[in-house]
Amino acid sequence: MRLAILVFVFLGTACATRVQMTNSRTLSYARVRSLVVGSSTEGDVQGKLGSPTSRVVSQGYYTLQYDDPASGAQRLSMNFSSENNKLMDILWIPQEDEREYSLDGAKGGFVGASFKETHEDDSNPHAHSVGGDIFIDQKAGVTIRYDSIQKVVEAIAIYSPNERIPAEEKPEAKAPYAF
Amino acid sequence: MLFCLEVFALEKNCPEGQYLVKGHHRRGYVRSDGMYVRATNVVAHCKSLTKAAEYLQNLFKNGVPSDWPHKMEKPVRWTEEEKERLVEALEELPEVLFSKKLKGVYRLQKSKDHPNPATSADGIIVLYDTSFDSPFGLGRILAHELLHQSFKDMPKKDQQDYHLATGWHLKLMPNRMIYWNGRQTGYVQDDGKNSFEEDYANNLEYYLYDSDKLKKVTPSAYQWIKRRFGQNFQLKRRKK
Repeated sequence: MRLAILVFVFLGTACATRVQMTNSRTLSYARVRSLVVGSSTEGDVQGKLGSPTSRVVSQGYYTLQYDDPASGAQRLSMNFSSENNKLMDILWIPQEDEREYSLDGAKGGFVGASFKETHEDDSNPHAHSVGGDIFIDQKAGVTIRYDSIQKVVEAIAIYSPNERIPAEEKPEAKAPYAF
Repeated sequence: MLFCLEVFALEKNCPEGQYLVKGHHRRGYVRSDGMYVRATNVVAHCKSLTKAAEYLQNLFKNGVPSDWPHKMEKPVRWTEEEKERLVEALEELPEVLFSKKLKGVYRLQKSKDHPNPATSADGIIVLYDTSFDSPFGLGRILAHELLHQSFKDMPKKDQQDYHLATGWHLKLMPNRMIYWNGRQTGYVQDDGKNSFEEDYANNLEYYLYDSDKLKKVTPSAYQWIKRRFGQNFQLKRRKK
C-alpha cells in the first residue's frame, strides 16, 4: 500500500512537471507571436513550445533552437539575456504551407510597420545577387529575409528596437573568391 | 564575296541534325582532359548537332546583359572559334546542368575582378577572355557557373535539404540583418564560406572534377550530391 502511494505520488509529480514535447502543432507562428520580446522567459517559451532541440550558452546570452520534428530543419531560434533571462529576439523560419511564407503574409503580421527594402551585401565577383532581399523596420523591431528568385520568405526576425543584438564573438573576414 | 556565298550555301545545305561551323582560325589550346589541340585553319563544315550544341545555339549573346551591375565591363563579339570551344566544353558535362532558365551566355572582355574568368546571375552567364586560357579548363569554369544556376533552379525544399545536410543556418546579426551562416570547417574552397550558393557550386564542381578531395573535406556534401543526382552525375568520357 505504501509502495502504491509512493508510485502514485511519483507519477503525479512527474506529470505535473513534465515538459511539453515539441511537435508540429506546438511549433506554430501564432504561438511564437504570443511571446513578448523583453519580458518572456525561457520557462514561458518552453511552456508554449515544449523543449528546444538545443540550448547553447554564449557570452552574455544563451540561445534556444527548435528544429522541425519531422525534417530536422531549423524552425526557430531565440536569444535570451544571461543578465535578466528575458527573451531578446526571435528568428522564425516559415514553411511552405504557412501564411507568412509569402511576403504579403509576412508583412501583414506587422500592422503599421513601414518596411525599408535593402539587399544583402554581395561582393561575389562571379555570381552576383543570390536573391537575398531584406525588408526591415528597425523602429518596429522586425526584419524579413526574402528570396526574390524563389519568391518566398526565408526568415522573420522580431527584436526589441532598443536592445542590442549580441555580436559574434569572432567576426570573420570574407574569403577572396577563387572563380 | 565567294567565301560568303560558300557559307550561305553550306548553311542552306546542312542536313537535319547538323549545324554549320563557319571557317575560322583555331588557336592551340589544352582541352580539359589534358590533350593539347593544335592550332589550325578550320574550313567551313557541317557538324552533328549534339545536345550541347543545340542547347547553346540560341544562348550565344553579344553585348552586355541588361541591368548588368558592372558598368565598366566591355563586350566583345563571340568568335566562331570560341563558340566551338564552348560547345566542346559543354559536351563533357551532365545534361542535368543544361538549365532551361538560362537566357544567355555573354562574352565580355575583362572582369572588374580580373583575372576572374566568369560571372553568373539568374539566367545569365558571362565569360571573359581569361576563361579561354584558364589553367582550370573551360569545361570546369562553365560547370561552375551552370551550377550557380542549378542552385537557383532547385525547388526551395531541396535547397533547404542542402542547407540542412551541409550545415547552413539562418542567424540574426547585430546589424538587424538576417544572414546565412555556414558550417565552421570543411570547405573545398575558402570562398564557399561566403555563401551557400558558392558552397554548392564548389562542391558539385569538385564532385565532377576532384571527387576524392570532396569526399575527404566535405563528406556530407558528397553524400548529398550522390543521393540527389544519382550515379549518372559525372563527366562524359570523350571518345578517343
